[in-house]
Amino acid sequence: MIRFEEVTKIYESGKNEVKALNSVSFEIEKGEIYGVVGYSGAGKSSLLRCVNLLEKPTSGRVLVDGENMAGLSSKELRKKRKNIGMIFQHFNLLNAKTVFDNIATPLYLQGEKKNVIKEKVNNLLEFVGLSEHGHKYPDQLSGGQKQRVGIARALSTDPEVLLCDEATSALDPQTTSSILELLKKINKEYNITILLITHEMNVIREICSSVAVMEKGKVIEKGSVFEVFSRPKTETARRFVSSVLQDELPDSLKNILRNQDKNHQVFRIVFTGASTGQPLLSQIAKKFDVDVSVLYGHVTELQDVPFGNLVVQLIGDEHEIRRAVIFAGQGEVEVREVIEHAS
Amino acid sequence: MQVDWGTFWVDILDATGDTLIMVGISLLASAVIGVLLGVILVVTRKGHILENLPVFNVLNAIVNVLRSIPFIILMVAIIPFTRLVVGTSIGTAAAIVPLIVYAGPYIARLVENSLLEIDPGIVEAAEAMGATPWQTIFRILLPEAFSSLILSLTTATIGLVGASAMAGAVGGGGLGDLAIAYGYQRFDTDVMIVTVVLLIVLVQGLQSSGNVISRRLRRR
Repeated sequence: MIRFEEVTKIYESGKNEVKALNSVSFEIEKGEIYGVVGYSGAGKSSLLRCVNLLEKPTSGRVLVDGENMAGLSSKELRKKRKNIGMIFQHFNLLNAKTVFDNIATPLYLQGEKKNVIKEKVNNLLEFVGLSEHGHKYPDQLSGGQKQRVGIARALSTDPEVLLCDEATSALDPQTTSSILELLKKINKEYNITILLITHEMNVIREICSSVAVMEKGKVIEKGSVFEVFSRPKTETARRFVSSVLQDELPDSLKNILRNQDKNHQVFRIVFTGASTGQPLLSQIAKKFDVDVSVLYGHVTELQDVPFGNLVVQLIGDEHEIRRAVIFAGQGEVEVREVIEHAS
Repeated sequence: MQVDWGTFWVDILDATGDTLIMVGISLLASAVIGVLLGVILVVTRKGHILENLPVFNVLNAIVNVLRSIPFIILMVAIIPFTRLVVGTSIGTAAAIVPLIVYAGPYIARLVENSLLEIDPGIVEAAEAMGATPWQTIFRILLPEAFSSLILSLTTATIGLVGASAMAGAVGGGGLGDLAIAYGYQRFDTDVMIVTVVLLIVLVQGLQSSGNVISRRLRRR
């Protein structure tokens, strides 16, 4: 549905050149909710704006539904943009217009008939849960309500793609959840492909099916949300995952572990799918001559699949620990050492 | 010299009429010119919807030049132009031309400022919706800035009332002229007070109505 081919964007300001995007390539399937995560300045915003050509790539191509965006005439581009809705971090609503007129604006612009507009806008108001608020002005609404207006406005032209520019970053956690629910509903009911950028990994966890991690203008890691959460490959991705799972051991605990005199090792055990329900730790303790101490444990759901994450300390002699680890690492369970062997 | 108040009120009435005509017509014309120039000054600047730096730079310079000439000098300097447009260089009509040349660029700056206050995100949203530049200007930018534009025009109107006082220099008449001719030059304090009070009432009235209209449009 959306395909980035070696997209590079360079900003020039005087003598300085900033490479906001550095040869980015990846593809977003139809009907997917695709998340791009990165710290500020990673190039997410430029990437998103290359899709509807609010930013023109310096080189490379962006294809939406097979069409090269940069190859369109300005008339064709305007038509195409009606097929790509966009919502914003700061909503960007028209303050002088009512909620109803805000949602109707794209329809007014394409010269739609009054009665068609009325029916459509009323349906959208109901869909986003704002039926009672059509006559109000944006400054009478809460942040979450404003974003609902933004969403309804973006949907008014029946787009196939929805671009979300940090759509929940200005909202509190509870409102964020309700907006994410709404986006999920849009994706399901209208089969709209959603590309969202965010710096909040929990947004990715809650609604995305695939994720790309960006750093310094490059996509450094991409894959299904499950893959990236369970096996992050890069340091940045790992940090983003930790920000949600909070699976970092506190320094004080690490110090205590380091100073223990008994031979031990600390491992992270990742359970996925059905393995999450296994009594693995008690099996280890029974079968091998090791003591097991749980330092951290967390079970959550990713993409409707259970996902468990344990950090355990195994105490015993090295040989037994190694045997225990090999036993544990069978099947859908992954075991890896997290901090150095205390010596 | 004592003024005969019986006939003098007629003069004051005439002068008030002259002032209203001068200000009204020049406001109308300079508002059209000013809004047009102001919009162009916004949309042709770097990064905006119709970026065109040569146009922007030239207009910007012209506006600055016109804005830096004192009105009384401008009025005299453009006499040949005035004669070309209205066929005469004295009288009320002759005062209106320099008033427009004076207020047009002034309003352009005010409009420019009003439009620049609009969040660039709104313009971006309009682009993302597939709005044409024309639609962005008339359906998005101007309506969003409307209430602030009214305040700008109020300021410009009051500026015009002030400038119209100098229209006496080309025989334009009006309240300001009356105040200068009778009150200042003939030391007739009473006349001066009456005309100045009338000007104050006029300015107060304009400012209050501007405020009310603008607040209504803001609808808060």
